[in-house]
Amino acid sequence: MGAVKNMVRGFIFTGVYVLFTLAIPLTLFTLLFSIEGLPFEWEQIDQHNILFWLTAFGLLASGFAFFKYSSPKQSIRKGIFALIQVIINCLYLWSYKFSGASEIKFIIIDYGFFTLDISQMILIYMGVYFLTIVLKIYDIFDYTINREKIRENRMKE
Amino acid sequence: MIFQTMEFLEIIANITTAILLFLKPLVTPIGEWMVDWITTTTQFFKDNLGASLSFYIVVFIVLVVSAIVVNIIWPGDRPGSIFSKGIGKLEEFEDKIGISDDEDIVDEIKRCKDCGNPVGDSEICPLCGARQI
Repeated sequence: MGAVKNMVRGFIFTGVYVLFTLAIPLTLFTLLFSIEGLPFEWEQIDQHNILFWLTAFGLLASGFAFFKYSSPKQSIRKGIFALIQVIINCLYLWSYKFSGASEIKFIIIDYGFFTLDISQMILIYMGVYFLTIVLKIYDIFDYTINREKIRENRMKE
Repeated sequence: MIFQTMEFLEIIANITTAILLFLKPLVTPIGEWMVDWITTTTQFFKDNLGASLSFYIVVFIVLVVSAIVVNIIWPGDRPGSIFSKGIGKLEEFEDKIGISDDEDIVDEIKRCKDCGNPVGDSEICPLCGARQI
């Protein structure tokens, strides 16, 4: 019964990840690239690059999300995959920056333009991710040291 | 511009700047380190795995399938099926040689009536000297 429950949880969270890291960004960018006459343009127009790296890291993030969320609570397996997940999330977020999706130039007709640069916001997020990485490493140590106790408690449930 | 027109927002902006400047010596090296390793990793992906999506699709499928297999073997709320088979074999072996869980070899040892010390076959307890008849 535990295995089925774990896998259902894994599939639910993978669905969430697929939605937020693949479906929504890809739909949004495809629409933005296809609609003409919008009052903004990308600073570095590289549609293929943006779509490719979002899909690539989105797939990795979703795959690792399944492994993480289908693992038993407080297991070493979960700890390790949670750490990998955070690292993949960093890469996913960074893919927005290096593919050029973080700099958008808005052109206001008959007025001028301004550039929206979300690179700094991504860098702040990186700081948050660093703290998350530290926390996940601590979790792995915690789960390893208290392995027997955690397992006993889990078997009792 | 907007921060200069609204006083409340200007105060918040000043406080945030003060906090960030105070944390700068700590945050900057962390940020630089993060940017370094992420840039190196993404550059590796760009150079070696940037041609097609097939690698990422294969990794995704492998992760999902392996997670399903691992969960079937080690679901977490009971001993894994590999270990369960081992326990089953041990129980079968115990059944064959006639050992049950209720029987305990320690219970079969003859003990002194007075002090409880194991006496074996002797009639006098070696510890307290009481006769065992």
